[in-house]
Amino acid sequence: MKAPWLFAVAATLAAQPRFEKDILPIFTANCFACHGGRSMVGLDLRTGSSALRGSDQGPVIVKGDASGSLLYQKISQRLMPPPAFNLKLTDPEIETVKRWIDAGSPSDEAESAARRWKEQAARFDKEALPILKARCFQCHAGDKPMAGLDLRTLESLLRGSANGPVIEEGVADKSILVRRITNKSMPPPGAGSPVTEDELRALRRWIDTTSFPVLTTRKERTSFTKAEAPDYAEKDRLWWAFQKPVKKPVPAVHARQRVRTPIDAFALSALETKGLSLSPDASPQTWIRRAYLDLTGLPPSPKELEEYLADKGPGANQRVIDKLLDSPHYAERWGRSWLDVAGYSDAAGFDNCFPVVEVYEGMWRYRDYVINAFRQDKPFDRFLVEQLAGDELYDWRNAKTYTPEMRDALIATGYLRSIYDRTDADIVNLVNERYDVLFDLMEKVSTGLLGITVNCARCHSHKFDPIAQRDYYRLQAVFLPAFNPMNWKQPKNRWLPDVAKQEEEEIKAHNAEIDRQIADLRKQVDRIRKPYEDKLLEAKLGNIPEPIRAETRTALKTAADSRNEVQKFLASKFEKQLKVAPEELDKAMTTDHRSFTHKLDEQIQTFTAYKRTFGKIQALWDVGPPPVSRLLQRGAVESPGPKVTPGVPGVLSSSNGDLQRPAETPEGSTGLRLAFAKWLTSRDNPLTARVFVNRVWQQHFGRGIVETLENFGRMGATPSNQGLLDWLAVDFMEHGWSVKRLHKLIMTSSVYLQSSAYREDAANIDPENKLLWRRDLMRLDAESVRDSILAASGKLDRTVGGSPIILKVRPDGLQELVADEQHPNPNFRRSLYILSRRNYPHQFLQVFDFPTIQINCVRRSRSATPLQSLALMNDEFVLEEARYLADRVRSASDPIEQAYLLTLARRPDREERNLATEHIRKQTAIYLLANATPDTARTKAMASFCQMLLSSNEFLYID
Amino acid sequence: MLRQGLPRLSRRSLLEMTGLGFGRLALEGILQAQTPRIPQDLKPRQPHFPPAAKAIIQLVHNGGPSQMDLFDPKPMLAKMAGKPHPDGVEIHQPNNANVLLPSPFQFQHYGQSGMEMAEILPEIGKMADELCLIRSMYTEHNNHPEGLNMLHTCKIFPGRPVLGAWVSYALGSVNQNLPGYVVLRDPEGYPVSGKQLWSNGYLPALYQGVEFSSSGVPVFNLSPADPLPPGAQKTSLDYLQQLNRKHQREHPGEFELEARIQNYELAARMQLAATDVLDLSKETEATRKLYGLDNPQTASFGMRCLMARKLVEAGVRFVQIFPGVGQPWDTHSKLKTDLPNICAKTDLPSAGLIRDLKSRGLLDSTIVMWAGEFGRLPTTQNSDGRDHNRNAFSLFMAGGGFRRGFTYGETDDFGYKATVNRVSVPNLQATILRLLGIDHRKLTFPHAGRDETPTDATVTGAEVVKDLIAGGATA
Repeated sequence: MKAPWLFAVAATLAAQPRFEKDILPIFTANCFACHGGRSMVGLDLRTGSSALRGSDQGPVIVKGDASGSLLYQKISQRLMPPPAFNLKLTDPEIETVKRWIDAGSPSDEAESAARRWKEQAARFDKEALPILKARCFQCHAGDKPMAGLDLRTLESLLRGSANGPVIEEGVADKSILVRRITNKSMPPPGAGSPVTEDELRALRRWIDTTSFPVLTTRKERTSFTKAEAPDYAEKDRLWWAFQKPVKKPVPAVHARQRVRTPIDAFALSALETKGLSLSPDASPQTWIRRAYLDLTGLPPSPKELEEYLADKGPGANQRVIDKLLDSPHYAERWGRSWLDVAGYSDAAGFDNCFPVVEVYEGMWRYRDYVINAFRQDKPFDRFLVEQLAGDELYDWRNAKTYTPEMRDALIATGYLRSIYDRTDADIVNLVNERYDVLFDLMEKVSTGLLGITVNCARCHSHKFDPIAQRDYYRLQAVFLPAFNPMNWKQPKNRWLPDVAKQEEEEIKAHNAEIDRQIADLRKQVDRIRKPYEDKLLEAKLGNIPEPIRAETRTALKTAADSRNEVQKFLASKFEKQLKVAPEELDKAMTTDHRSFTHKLDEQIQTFTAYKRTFGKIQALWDVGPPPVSRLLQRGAVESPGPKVTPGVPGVLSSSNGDLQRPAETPEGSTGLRLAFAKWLTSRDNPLTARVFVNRVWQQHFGRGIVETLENFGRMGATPSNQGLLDWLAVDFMEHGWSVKRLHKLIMTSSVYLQSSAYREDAANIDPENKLLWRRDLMRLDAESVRDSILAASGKLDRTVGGSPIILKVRPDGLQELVADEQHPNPNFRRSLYILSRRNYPHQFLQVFDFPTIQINCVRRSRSATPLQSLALMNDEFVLEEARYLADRVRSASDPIEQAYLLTLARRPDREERNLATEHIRKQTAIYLLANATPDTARTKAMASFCQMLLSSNEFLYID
Repeated sequence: MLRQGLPRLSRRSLLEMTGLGFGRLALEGILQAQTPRIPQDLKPRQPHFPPAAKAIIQLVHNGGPSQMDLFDPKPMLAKMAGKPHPDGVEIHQPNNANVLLPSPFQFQHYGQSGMEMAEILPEIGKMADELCLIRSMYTEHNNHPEGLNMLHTCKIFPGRPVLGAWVSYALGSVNQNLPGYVVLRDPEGYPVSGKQLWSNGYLPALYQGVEFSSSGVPVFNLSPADPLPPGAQKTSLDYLQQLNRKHQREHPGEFELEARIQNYELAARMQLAATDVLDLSKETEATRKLYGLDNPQTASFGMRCLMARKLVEAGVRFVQIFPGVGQPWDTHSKLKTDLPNICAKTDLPSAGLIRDLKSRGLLDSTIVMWAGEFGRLPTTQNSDGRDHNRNAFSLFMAGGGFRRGFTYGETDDFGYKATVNRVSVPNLQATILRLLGIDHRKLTFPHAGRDETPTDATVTGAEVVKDLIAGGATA
């Protein structure tokens, strides 16, 4: 068939296209889902003039120059409409648009627009105006209406208020006008009579069924309204958390003998004003278990316990702390807590289907990067800079080979990639969903790193903190060049090889050469095997009924994707039955042929082994030219407002929020994230160090000095001891942001050392122990519960790092860890190496509050639920480890004591020994009664005793 | 004896234990900028208002039940069959044609109220006078996971607590031996989005839906995989409690330890209670028939419906039931055969549940919700099916204070878009919560620096739809 569009083109060539007659039908059918009334990214294609005005990024049509027009480029390259819509413009349609633009984009707008206006204005006058007039005109009419909202005409209503549109076309419920009336905030109480139910119904119906003409008078707004950028007074800066922390002199206290570190002086000073003091030091047994679990998430072994108790010299505690900080297990535990802040997940996108998980290949390299950073005590400021802007530190794009630092810096940007991005599927890869990624990122960065909430400012300036809506979008602009909604990369394509470009090409060339040789070998093999195979197949085909035999043969010889319906059916029915197995082939071949093909097969294997591979880095880097950044009115992508320059909240900056871009940035980078990271980690930043120090404190003590780790603003908690927090923060910065030093400082303090014993006198004054008159009992976190059980049973596999252990869902709905080459004993690895799923974490861990990740986890809860009891009573994992533990202590001279040492890091007292003996005796009797052999009965009773120790509150809590 | 010598309780502990003053707590959280006190138990709690309903059974008919083939007759579709939709419809997936497809099913009037429904729901039809049918639902997204998130959490993205978790958090459980929120899925597998549909989100894990299986072991970890000999568990628990009591004596003032000791007792009681409540052997032949247990086609879903009734009877607040694996109502093609199939599996048990609740006097205090996540298009996909449609869908509520024999809202001539008395998902949730005695704006949980609510009314504009409530505004 000849291309019919050729005729169509010929027929229309003569006439010059006009917008209303020729272009509008094309746009209506193909573009209006986004660029009609919704005017996505500001582009409204409903009239010639609105099309010419362009999007919030700028014009999309250059009159007279189709090939220079973005609109034409997008449709001719089939980038628009987005593939997901499955709307294909025909070639003649594209050609028509081209000719229209080339002809100068003519339109008969005046006429048609006027007609539509008239229709809609008449409906407005009839259905809405009388109500608005009666109820709203008192404030919203005239030359200076309240909030800039003038309701007198359809046009002025559509123009909206100073804060943006008040009506969403066709959706009354989403229209601010309706919402304000419904929630009775309009008309304001006392100002006129309220809107009646019937009137509200009429307004709703009008909005729900109307479609508005395009506002021809819309103008680019360049200045911000007062609501978008309020003038914050100097007093707003005076909030404690927005002031730079300063080291106040260490206070003098009465209980001088308890002061081991300045921490103690600050804590005592606060306690003494209430007539309180610290509790006595905890016993050495208590302290060492506390220190081990706290730093490594694992209990001390009996040997380590003995060594420590035998070390009577000064500085014994210090030596233990140093040893633990040197251990990779410290880095695992504290790295994992940072992964909470980062919102780390191995799972791609939605992670929406319980039985099936898709994994971001190589995401785990970021997890290992974090562990290594803690292990090496990477200065925390550097750690942040790499995670926010590692790709802007080095010119990796032009590097011949990656240095280890360069590769690490790229991997570090996994922090930014640990984000819920569902745009892999085309149906959810539209501008709205892309911005959702940015909105989430803003929340993650602000709550996790800055300790403030900025999310309210997405739609309106923050009600409590001096964060303007403009500030929000200035901050967002920092990330736009990388998460670029106009040049979006789907997450499945947002990765880099872990070798430099040049090496990647060398590897590819190297592999291509090997592939060529393998292909040759394969050809030889096939040549020999083919005749045998054909013969065997023919023999098998003999069993197929004659009428369909020929057809079946053809079906099998046709490639799977080019089979027709019948062939597909035949293949699916008979392929298995007719398949010639390798063993059959071997049997049929002559000895020579057989040994020769085997030799070739071996050669192929050898060659394959020479192929080189590279891994993936899930990274973030700037993509495409930086887009224009704008404030989004009411947080809606459909309502772009004035342009913004990249920056940070003004109240946190001495330079009005402007960022100092680095003098040099690698090619292709804006350097904006680097500038932001430098600001974040500058000594002048009032929040960063405080927020992190507070987080570390919270992990050591169970409660932050500021309880709301994620919010230091006015809606957050006030610090229980600001002097202490500030001293720690400044000291942390002064000593090179060293995290290990911070741990040591905290753990050698009397505050940390004290006992958890309850004191009635103190509890009467400070019942919640805010002032730290004792140590709080703390439940182990999820990973520590599981890992400590493994440590006690002796099965813990202490391998550090590597790809995650795959978590499979069984038909009964329970998960199991999958053994493979890299993980021969998956059940015994530490919990942080289990595949981290966004929505379906490992079930045992989840019962103990391992979080699901929407954005990130700023604080773990520590619940006490019956589900935890059931898990400890009946979970297969616990039962199995209890058996291993029983096995382990069986041969000890004193099994009961050994079990106590392994689980609780202490010896049992006489009462406990009696209870244990009694329990084992009773259980043995029960099993004997159930016809177990004496040996089995004893084994099971021992396992039961071990399981109860693992389930006990003492095991579950750090004293 | 236990409490002897217990120190003065901190405010937090007191509130956590007693669960008192709950409504006030969240408010105090806002006013005082303190870490809020969150109840961590399932003790029954007072709602904000006198409740019409004490429990809710949510039949989640996921996949997108076709409104114009089940609940919303559209004669215009037949009149314009094969013609294009005049304004075009929003489509996001392949193989759609803008061609109007009439319903292959007849509609008829049911009950005194004359409610119109399709012939393929004859048993539900018989219960028409108990139903509150909403034809003007709409939602935000055309994709299943987003639609399901919306239906359960009022937002399209994952991570928020579902309605059941909020209810469990707000009201606790009447029966201390059973969870407050139970999920009954098809034993063959999970619905799309799986456990996310009963996720506690950022609420404490205690409030998530607990899966009870309708075959095999009813609850995960309820008992060990290998049964223990008689007396073994009790002996172990006695020993464990001795250890825990001793530990507790050494740590007076630690309230959590006491809670944990009690949890073991609760867990042990739960083993008995759950086994007991799920034992269907004592049900009469008539009851079994009512739920279609005598018919292989209806038996599976019927079993879950019957279990739901038993659970509600036993004091469970929230039961969520799924009809099948994947998304049974997702009729992209073969509408004419596939839709009657899934109807045949679910129609009789759903109606049986409502009838049974009514005859036991439980329907007045139990909401039954029959809902999918969105509707379908009036136009064809794959020539004999329909694609997703977020602009209109139908669902029904029964009992628990909803109006009876009542049809609410309208769609346009083709059933494409809800036009009259439109009901958003957050509005429906606000209404359900209201009937359970909960003010959807006042039930708060602090999360990431913000006080979250079930409907997030400040963003979604959620409000109670008084028209749906029996007795109207004053209810």
